[in-house]
Amino acid sequence: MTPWKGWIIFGTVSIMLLVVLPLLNALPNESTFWLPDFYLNLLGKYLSLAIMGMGLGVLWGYAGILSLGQAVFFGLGGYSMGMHLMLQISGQQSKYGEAVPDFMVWNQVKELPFFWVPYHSFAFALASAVFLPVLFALLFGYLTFRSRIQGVYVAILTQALAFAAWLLFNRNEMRLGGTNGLTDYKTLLGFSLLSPTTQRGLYIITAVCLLVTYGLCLWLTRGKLGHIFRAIRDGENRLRFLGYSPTGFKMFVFALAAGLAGLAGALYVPQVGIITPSQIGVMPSLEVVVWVAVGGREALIGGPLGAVLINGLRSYLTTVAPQLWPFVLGALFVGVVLLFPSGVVGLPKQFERFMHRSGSRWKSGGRRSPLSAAAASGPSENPDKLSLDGEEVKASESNISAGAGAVAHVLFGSRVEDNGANKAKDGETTKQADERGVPLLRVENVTVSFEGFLALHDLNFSLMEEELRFVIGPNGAGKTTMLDVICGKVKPIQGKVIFKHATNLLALQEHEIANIGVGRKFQTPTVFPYHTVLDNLLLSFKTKKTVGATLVALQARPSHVGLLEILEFVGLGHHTQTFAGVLSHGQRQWLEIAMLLAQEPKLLLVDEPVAGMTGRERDKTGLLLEAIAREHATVLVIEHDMEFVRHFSNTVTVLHEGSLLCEGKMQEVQNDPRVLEVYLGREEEEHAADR
Amino acid sequence: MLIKQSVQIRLGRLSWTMVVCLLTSALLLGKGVELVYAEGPVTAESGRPNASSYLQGLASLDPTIQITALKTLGDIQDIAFLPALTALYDGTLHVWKDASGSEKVIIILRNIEPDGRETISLLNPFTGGELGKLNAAEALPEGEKLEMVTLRSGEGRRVMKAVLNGLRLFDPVVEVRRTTATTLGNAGDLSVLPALDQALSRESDKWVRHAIEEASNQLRLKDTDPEVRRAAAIRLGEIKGMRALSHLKALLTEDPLEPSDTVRVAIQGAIDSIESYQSYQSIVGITFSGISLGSILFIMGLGLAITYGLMGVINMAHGEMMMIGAYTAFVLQEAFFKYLPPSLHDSYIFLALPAAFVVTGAVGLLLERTVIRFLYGRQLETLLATWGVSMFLQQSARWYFGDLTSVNPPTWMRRGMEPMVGLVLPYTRIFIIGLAAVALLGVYLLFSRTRVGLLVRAVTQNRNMSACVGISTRKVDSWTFAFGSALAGIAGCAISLISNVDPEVGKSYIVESFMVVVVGGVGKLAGTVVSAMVIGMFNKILEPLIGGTGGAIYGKLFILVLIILFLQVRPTGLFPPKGRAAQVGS
Repeated sequence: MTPWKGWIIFGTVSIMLLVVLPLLNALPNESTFWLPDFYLNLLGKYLSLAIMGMGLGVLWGYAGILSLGQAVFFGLGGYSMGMHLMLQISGQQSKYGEAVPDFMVWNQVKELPFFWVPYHSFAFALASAVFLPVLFALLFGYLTFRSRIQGVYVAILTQALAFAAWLLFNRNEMRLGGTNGLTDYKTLLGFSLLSPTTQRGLYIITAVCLLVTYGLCLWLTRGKLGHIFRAIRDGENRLRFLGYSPTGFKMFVFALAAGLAGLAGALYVPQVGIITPSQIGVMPSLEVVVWVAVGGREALIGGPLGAVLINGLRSYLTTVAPQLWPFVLGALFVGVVLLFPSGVVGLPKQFERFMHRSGSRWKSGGRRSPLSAAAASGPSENPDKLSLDGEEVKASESNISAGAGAVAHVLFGSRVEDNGANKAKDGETTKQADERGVPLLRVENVTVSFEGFLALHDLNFSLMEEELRFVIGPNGAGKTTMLDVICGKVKPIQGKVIFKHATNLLALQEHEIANIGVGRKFQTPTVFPYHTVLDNLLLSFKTKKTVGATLVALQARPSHVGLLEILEFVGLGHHTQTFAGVLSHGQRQWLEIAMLLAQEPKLLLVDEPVAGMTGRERDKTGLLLEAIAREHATVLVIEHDMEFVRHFSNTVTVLHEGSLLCEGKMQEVQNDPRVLEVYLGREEEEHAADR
Repeated sequence: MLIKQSVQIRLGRLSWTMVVCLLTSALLLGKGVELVYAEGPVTAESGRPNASSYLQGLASLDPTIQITALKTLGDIQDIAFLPALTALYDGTLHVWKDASGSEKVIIILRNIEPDGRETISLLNPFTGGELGKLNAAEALPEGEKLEMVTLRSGEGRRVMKAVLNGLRLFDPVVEVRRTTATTLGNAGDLSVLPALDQALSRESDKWVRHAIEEASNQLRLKDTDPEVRRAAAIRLGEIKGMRALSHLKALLTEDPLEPSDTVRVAIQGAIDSIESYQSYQSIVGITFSGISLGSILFIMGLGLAITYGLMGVINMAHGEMMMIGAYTAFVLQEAFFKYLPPSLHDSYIFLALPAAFVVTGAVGLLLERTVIRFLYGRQLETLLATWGVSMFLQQSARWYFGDLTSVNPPTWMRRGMEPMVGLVLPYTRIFIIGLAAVALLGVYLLFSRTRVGLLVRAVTQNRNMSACVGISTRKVDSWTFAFGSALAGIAGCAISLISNVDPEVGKSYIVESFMVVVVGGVGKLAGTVVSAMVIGMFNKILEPLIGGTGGAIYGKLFILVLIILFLQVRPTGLFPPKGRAAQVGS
């Protein structure tokens, strides 16, 4: 959808909602176009619920957090406004002429409880309606997300919260009206709530709020924040290793949704005239989820659209055939999940796919994901055309070398290194370099146990600066586990990992380790499939990665220059706008490498970079790694491809059964009897097998 | 040459043995409880001469003769007259003059015949046998008369009550004897002491003896002789007579105060003894309630532990499965009442359990085939879809059955075991605890020792590999889910014994069931047991501590909040799934 189209639609809808409908309502009752108060009021109610739906749309659709307790925040907002309105009717208008609300008089409560007192002020009530849910959400979110609770557990926890809140609000001792709730309002800010003009005004305010909050959410989610949310949804752990702490972002979006729900409650109550505990519990929270599911999770408009549709349907059905409503609602739940996962918003695309699929059914079978559909329609170029001509290969090798050097220099060369860098010069082993100075990374006596199985056993290992080190070893030797320990994925039961002589990496969390300069390329490519190639890099590149910094930098256009160079080098220059999920395996490997480079780390941990690559690509990778090592960064490579190792290595470390077996140049290592035994088995055993 | 092999899912010998053992033990459990605790029928015969003359005296129109007859009956203390006296009290003792002109004193019983007519049965006052039957609507033929026997004076009423109470001390029904003794004790009339003593010498039931001793000692506290009073106080302390507690306290605090010092000391000693016993009793009571609630939570959570813990399917319709089980029990009970003779009414429970198992299992199977199977691995979607299904089921139940129905437990389950005075442990709850234990054992054995269990575990741990080996994962999935749902049905059947059955029953238990499974640690049966017991005990301990009308609700609330906080600190639960597999991240 082009921006112009979007603006036109937005404008039309705004004018409809803000100008046309209220005008129609303001007409005299007898005229043919008169919009009855009842319908305007109903629409106002729907619009306020739409705000709540939008909040969940951002929370669930973008960040992937399913909260089954939104109604709690709605209730907090609604009760805040309700309390204020109740206090407005005390005095002459109340039935008993007392200073306390009627229901308190019935319950023999003579004095206003202390927490009611501030609600005399409208400003306080409004502020409380929005910020009380926000504060509560921040607290709850902190406790929940800090423990890395994900997915279903969050849903269950929020559902328990809704249940508990419902139980609590039903009690009379809470002094909040008990099961009957708060109702019978008369005035708001001096305007009578029963007059049509006030209701019209409330409607307009609600519509304005909806449009403003829609704009706000749009702005927030179009920028980098939106990318981060979606990255949290698609690969939270991967995001950690890029240096982001998801906790803060999740708290932010959770609080945002809560605040919107609270606002919705505050707008809802004066228009509907009552707030009860039945609007707080488990069922109402689930209805919000249905709105978003039916409306569509993928677009921001889905939540509000679903809210209006479902509530409209419900109003209609509960007057015509009330017993049918739960059946319809239940069927909607099941239907949306099974048949229309993208909701109303996604219907056109789904229809398109269906037509496409039934047309080409003889070509291919099975379902298609949105990604493969994009693949079918997008450009399909193979950047790395395999060349079988040996001469071409040789000639381009020098080009590659130059290219690699250029990229490495751009990224890493501009950094100022402190003195005392310990380079393992050619021919030197780490030991000799050690004697010169302090290593960049030291792994000391690290032991990792998985339920008794020792993946790493008293491992001692160190790495000097500007070194390109290779680590090899048979399967199960603990190579990947060692990387896991270094970058914080796994915690050892004993040992130390010292980075740059000062920092103990074991005390830090994954994103902190990433932010101090340790980058990792994983064994299996874990790119973000629903982000474009460029977006993947934007998420990786070196910048401040806190919530605050991201909000501040929301509008700033990040410099793409360095990133484009990287992409050119890895061969994805033409694919900046391609979704990463569509790339081939090899292309994904390159993207991973590119993401690693974008982080500009001081220590690169590369796990099996050339798995699945062609010969030319292997050369490219090797040259790149060498160039990086030359430019003041340190590279640790795990590999199985012995040719590759032999060609590019300087020092090689061999791991076996969790500890260091031997270290040295490839020549020495290859002839070491211990290494031979480990890889090939003992001589006697070989002869035994022959017999 | 290709060798086709497929792994067939057959219940091995162990599984069949287990099924048979489970059913037998359920049957034996029920029957055994019934045999021990059911009450026998009541008959009474009188071999005394002059029996009918006493009855004539009762029916006399002269108040003096009535009172004399009553007092005589009180003196001879023959329980054969108990039905007649009770009838006199109830207003069903009548004089009947039949066609032959002879007058007889009989007891009447009003019936409603199957065709809707009201009839009156005329019964022998001693044997209860039917002497005749009349139509209520018809007028009596000429010469016949049916007149109610009433008490002609106020004093007559008083005497009758005393006589009745005296006789009731010897009533065949245990409960009647007990309550009579307590009433006499509280009434404060010392003249009944000899009757009480006599009853004590003939009494065999432990608790009635206790009640009688309590009553007689309570009365003796009013004796003029301080020694007697002291002995009475000491004895009350010894037998832990709780019903006398307020009386004892009043003697020390209100007028008229106990004058003698020694007696006061004895009274204080008795009070202390009784109060410490009371707190001991409440501990036992709370422990039992905690275990009972824990066993209920466990049964509810067991099915969920299988579908969610083992299969990873979030089934929000689990509560509705329970509801289906409860309604199955209801329907069966209605059917038994309608079509079978009263002697078989109580046996419905034996059919209800297997029936609930089968019916709910079938519903679960259907659910799996139509909805769940398309959503494996997508937990949030399963949550939503099953919630939709639950709404569907709930509304269907509401439509068909209406909003409130209730299942009556079998008569032999209605009371309880009484290990201590005043502490009744209801049989229904004991039954549920037993059921929970049997279910736990059954599930454990099924999954760890049988071939079927092995297949299930294989499929849930590594679906692709299992399929490669030749196991039909589709079938295993369906049956596992059906089994989990069937267990929910059993839970519903059990719940129906202790609370009302309505369409909302599912919603009120679903959140708690999930809490039990999640707190226990997903995937471990031991976790579910421990968390159910812990939550149950906590709940019951908190209730009296919080006190007041909202005790139960606030207790539940508090537990919920505690669980939320616990899960935030330790999200994997009490017994987390360990190992490398657990660490493979997103």
